[in-house]
Amino acid sequence: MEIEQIIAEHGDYLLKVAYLYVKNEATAEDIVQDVFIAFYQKQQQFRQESSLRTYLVKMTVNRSHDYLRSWKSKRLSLFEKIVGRTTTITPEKELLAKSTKQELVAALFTLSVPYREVLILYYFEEMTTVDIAKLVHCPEATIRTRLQRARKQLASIIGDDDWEVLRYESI
Amino acid sequence: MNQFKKNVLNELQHVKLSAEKKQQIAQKARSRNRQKQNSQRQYRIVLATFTLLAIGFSVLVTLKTEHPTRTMQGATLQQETNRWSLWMLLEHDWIKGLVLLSLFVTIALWIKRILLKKGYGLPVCMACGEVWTAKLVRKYYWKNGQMSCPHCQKVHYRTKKSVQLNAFTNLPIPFMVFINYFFSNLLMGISFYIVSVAIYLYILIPVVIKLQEDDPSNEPLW
Repeated sequence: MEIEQIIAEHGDYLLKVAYLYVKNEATAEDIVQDVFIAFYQKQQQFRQESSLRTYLVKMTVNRSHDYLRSWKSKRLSLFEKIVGRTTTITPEKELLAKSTKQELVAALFTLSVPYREVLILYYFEEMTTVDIAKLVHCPEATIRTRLQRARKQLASIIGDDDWEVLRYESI
Repeated sequence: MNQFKKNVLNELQHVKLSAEKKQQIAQKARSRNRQKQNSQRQYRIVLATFTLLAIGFSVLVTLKTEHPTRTMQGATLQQETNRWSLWMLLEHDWIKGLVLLSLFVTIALWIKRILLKKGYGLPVCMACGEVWTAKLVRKYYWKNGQMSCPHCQKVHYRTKKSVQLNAFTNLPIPFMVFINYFFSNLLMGISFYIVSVAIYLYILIPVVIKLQEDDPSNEPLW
C-alpha cells in the first residue's frame, strides 16, 4: 500500500490519539510525522499479526511516552505550572475550542498521564486491559486499579449528571 | 463504538491533518529513506580518507626514521632527528596534499550535514513525488535552465535560493591562486587542489538543488 494512502486512512486518527496524550496539536503532528517516517523505513518489520491501525497506534503511544519523558515536555509543563497558561494556545484555537463543546477532553487533560492513558486506551482505543498491560509494561491488576481511579476522578471533574456514559460500564 | 469514544471524537473534530501536511509527511518519509541509504556511503568515504591519511603518515614516519640510520652523517643530524616533531611532516608536498584533501572532504561533509538538517536533500519531483538520483542531479547541476523529471517529464526550475547557495559552494575554486605559497611543487599542488575541489563538489552538488515549478528567470536574483 502506498504511504499516501496509509496517511490518508490513519493520519487523523493517530493525530487524535497523540493529541490526547500530549495536549498539544503541533507536538502531536510531529509525533505522527515521526511515526509515518519510521513506518516507511521499517515497514518490512511489520509482521501483519495485528491490524495496521493497531501497529501504528502502538508506535504513536510509544512516541508520545518518549515525548512526555523528554526534557522539553517537562520544561514546558513546569513553565505552564508557573505561569498558569499554556504557551501554545492561540486566539484562533481558543475560538475554535469555544465553538465546539470541549468538556470531556478538557476533563481528560486535567488527569495525570497514567490515568489519562488507561482511559484513552480502554475507551477510545477499545483495547482490553490485558492488551493495555502488555503495551504499558504493567501488571493487569494495576491497569484495572488505574481505570477505576481514573473513572472516579473523571466523574468528580465532570459532575454526576454528565457521567452516565461510563458509570454502568464495567471493566 | 461506545459513548465515550463518540463524545471524544465529536469534541476532537478540529484535530486533523491538513492535506498539505499529509503530502509533506509523505515527501519527508521518502527523502529520509534516501538519506539513510546515503549515510552508509558517507561513512565509507570518511573511512577511506582516514585510512589514506593514516597510511601516508605511517609511510613518511618510517622513511624519516630509517633515513639517518642508513646514512649516519654525524651527530648534528642525529640531534635533528631527536628534535623531530609531527609538524615537520608538513614539509612534504604529499602530506600537504593529503591534508588539503581531507580538509576539503571534512568541510564538504560538514556543510552537507548542515544542509540536510535545514531540509535540503535530493530533489523530489513536485508532480509525481519521486526522488531524483544523485547522478541525475550532478548532470543537471551544470545546466541553469529547465530540468525535466525522468519519471513524469514534468519541467522544473531551480529555486532562487538554491542558485545563491550554488554560488557559495563554488567559493573555494578561486583560492587556487594561493597554492604556490604552500606547495614547493606547484604542479602537484594544483593537481591535489583540483582533485579536492572535485570531491568537494561531488559530495555537495546533490544536496544544493531545490526545485520549483515556476520559471524564476524573470525574477531578480538578489
